[in-house]
Amino acid sequence: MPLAYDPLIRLQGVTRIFHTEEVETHALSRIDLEIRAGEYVAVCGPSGCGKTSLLSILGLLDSPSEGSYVLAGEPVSTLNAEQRARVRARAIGFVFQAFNLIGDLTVYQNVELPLRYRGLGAAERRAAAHEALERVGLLHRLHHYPGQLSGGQQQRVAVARAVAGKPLVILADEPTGNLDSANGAGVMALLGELHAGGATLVVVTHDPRYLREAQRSIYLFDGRVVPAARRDREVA
Amino acid sequence: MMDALWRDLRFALRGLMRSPAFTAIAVLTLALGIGANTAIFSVINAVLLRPLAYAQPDQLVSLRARLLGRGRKDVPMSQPEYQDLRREVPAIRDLAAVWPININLTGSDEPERIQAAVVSSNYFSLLGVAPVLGRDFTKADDGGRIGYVALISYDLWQRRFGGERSVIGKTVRLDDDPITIVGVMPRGFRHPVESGASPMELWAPIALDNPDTTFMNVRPARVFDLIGRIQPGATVDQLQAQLLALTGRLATRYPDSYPTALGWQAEGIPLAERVVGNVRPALLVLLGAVGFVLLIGCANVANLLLARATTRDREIAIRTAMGGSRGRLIQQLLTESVLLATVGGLVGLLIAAWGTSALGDLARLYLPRARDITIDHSVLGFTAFLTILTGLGFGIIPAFQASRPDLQSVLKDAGRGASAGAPRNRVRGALVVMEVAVALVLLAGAGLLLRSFQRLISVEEGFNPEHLLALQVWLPVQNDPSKGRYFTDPQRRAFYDRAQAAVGQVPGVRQVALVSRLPYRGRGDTRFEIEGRPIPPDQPPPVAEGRQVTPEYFQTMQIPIRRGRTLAAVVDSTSPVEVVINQTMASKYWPGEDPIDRRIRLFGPRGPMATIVGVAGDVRQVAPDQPPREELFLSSQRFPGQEMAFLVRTEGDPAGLGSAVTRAIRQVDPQQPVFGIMPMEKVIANASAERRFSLLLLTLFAGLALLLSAIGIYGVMAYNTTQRRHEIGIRMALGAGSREVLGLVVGQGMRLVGLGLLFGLTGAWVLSRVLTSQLYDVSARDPFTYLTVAVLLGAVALAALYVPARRAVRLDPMTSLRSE
Repeated sequence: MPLAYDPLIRLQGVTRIFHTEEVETHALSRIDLEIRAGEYVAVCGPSGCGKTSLLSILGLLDSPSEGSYVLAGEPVSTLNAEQRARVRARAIGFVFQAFNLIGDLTVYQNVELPLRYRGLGAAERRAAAHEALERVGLLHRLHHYPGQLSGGQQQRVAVARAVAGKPLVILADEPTGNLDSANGAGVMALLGELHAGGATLVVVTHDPRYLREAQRSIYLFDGRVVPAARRDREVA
Repeated sequence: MMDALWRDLRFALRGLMRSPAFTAIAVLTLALGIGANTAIFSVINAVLLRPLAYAQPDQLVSLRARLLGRGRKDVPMSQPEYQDLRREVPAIRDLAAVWPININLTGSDEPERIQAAVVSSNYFSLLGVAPVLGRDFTKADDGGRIGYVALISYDLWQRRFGGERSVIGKTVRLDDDPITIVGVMPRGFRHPVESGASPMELWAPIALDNPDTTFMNVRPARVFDLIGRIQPGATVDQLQAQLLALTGRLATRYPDSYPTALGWQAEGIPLAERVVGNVRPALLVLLGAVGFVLLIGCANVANLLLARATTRDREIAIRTAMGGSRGRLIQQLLTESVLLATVGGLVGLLIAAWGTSALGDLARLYLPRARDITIDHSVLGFTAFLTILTGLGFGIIPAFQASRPDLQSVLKDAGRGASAGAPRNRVRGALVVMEVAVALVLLAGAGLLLRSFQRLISVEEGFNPEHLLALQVWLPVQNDPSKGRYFTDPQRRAFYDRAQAAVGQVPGVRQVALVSRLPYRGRGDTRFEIEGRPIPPDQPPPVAEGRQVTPEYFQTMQIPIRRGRTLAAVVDSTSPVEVVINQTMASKYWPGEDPIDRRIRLFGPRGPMATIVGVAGDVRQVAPDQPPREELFLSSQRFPGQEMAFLVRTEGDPAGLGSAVTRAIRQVDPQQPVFGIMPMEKVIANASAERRFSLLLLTLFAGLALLLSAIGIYGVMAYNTTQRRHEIGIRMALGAGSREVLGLVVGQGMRLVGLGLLFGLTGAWVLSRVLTSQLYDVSARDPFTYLTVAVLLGAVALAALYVPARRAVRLDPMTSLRSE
């Protein structure tokens, strides 16, 4: 997928409604959002404001109830599960708060897993996984299992897994949430380096320190994007 | 201690009641396994284990002979041989003779053909069983003729005489002779070597010290089964050594009766062994098979317990943290397992009660002592033992696994990733591998029997059994035969001619023929000598399967006449003797020649000369699995015997004509019992009853094993999928599509299944020889069968895997990722 699309991500009127029994919950309401290629965007807001729902839609783990989503010029909001999986494999890298490494796989196997789903050959996978692990400084832990690593190291493996396939966008959901401050800072520095290298980043975070590192921050409240002018008032 | 046990029991009971679905599945699985084992053990117990119901049964021996020269064994003894054994074998303390016969019982109620025995007067005292009513035989009961007194079985007493005590002294007619009933044997008394299908119901005495040579007192008249009681302290080996010595002496003393070529050799074996016959291997195979089913059931329940243990990690961790010792925890968990097994055992007993009854009915056709199959104290003891063993068996691994939780991770609830449950997953995987392997062994066994049976039923009988009714009559032979209604050939011929004509008039009957012995009802040798080919003195005379038939026999049976013609109708006993031989006999004695018009002398040097008039197609006379042997057919009009079978070719269903045909024969002689009325197809089916019994049960057990394995595979993989939903969510987030997820679940399951198939094929290969004796025309290592059952099991496993795999594919990655 070429990088020349601008904006890389365009959401228009995206609404996500969850139905549980007789209750209808509007997780996202008429979100309009554009993210350019190479941009570093932070998403923040109070608990339950819809940050994770937004990230799920951006990451094609979920589909909007209404509205459209165009990723790299391709409308993706109406894709079925199988098609979304294919787009995820080639265009999106995830970094989760809980690392979400697979305990039965080695560090190397975890990192090359998305490349496998993308259908890359063994040599390509090996080269890409090695490069990604080298980038996060864990090449020497290739054959270790996640359980043998510290939390910070696990999250660095998760970052390596997210970047190994050179996705169009890296989505990070509270990447420092399970880490102490030193490790958290290390991971955020790593993400900063990736951005400096041209990666498009969307990071959900609560931490004001990391908000400042983003080029732009989006504040969500009750499932809506709050304009910068109103943000201070809402927060107050 | 008891207090703790009681507490554990209550806790276990509450736990099981809290999980009704788990409890129901586990109980049902165990009940099927324990029930099936109990039912089969009830058969093993009755047939193989329970001592014979006679006094000091270990002293009882059966004496028969082998004819090594003819490859025959279990040959009865003659009256002179009985005397030789009594006199010259010191290991024998007492010896009784039994001549099993069929006899017509008339004189009250419907005429009936019953199984009876003529016995030496010491028969009951030797067995150590006294009559429950009346008296035993004495030597005075028989004055050189078959007795005019009889003892009857308890069942006959109840059935025919209403259990009235006045039966003693009552006179009935046996083969037209008046016989006085002097005693009734106790309920459950059985002749040691009786068929389950036709139990012995009457005993009459015969004195074997009668010197009258016309009274069966010749060496070739080998009709007696001998039952001996050996001296206290003597062994069967000693007896056998003395019998071998006697064999040598008799051969020297009576060279005409015991030519070297005949190879007569007396043989003694424990009576219990004779009773069991050759059914032991088949029964042990079934016991092994049903044990395998229970093993699979145990693996399933162990898997369920392992899965359940995961949900109880926290509870167990808290108990451990509070100071509960590992031993104490194991005790508590095993109490639950044994309680579960006990409930399964109780339900299993209900299944066994039904199964035992069904097995008894099924087994009666061929199994000795099948009427004794019941759930007695031994069977209950076995079930109790099996239940406890089962409870410990399936509970021990989960108990050990569950009793060592990772306290820190469980209590902090911080366990993450698939690696947390790896040891349990490995155990569960191993159990699946074992289940598949064991199921494959059973399926291979059932497959081999099925293939063998297919071959057997596709064997050409040589005649058309469809629309063919068979029934038998046995004309009475009085003690003084000359007084009998059917003493002479003309008397018998007249009866058969009239009866055949009467049956022919029954609406729906197309054709009627008579034969002296139905196919598949044992063998009967007829001695012959070919004209111009004298028998060397050191050679036994040639023999062939001999039958007397009416001229319509070949047409009625639809046996082709390949050459020549059928037998001519005969009106009296002076007609020339004709014989039809079968193709096997023609090929053996006249290879490349035309046997028509050749002559053979029948029955011995003084027998009649017969002319071969036809060559008929081969028929499997002895058993479906035995190739045709030489056979010759004589005219039953020329040689009308006492026993004949009617073969009735019918327009429609032959079973429906039994009553009408019986009535037709009774019109000719109202006192003549007609018995063994059944379609010819059933005669053939009964001939393979033992194979059917093994086949049916092994197929049933294999089916059960297949079902339980499928449930086991499904259970493990469904649980694994649930346990791995977070991991699957991660994979989906990373781009795994339905194909990859499907491949993940199915691939993991099929790896276990593949390993199980590999072990199973190896196991089946190793164990195959135990089935060899039960197979016909199929190798015990038949690759086609092995491949077929492996594919079948693989397909069933795939189907069992498909459900959890589909469920995994439908997982919502967002929900799955949140589930951690």
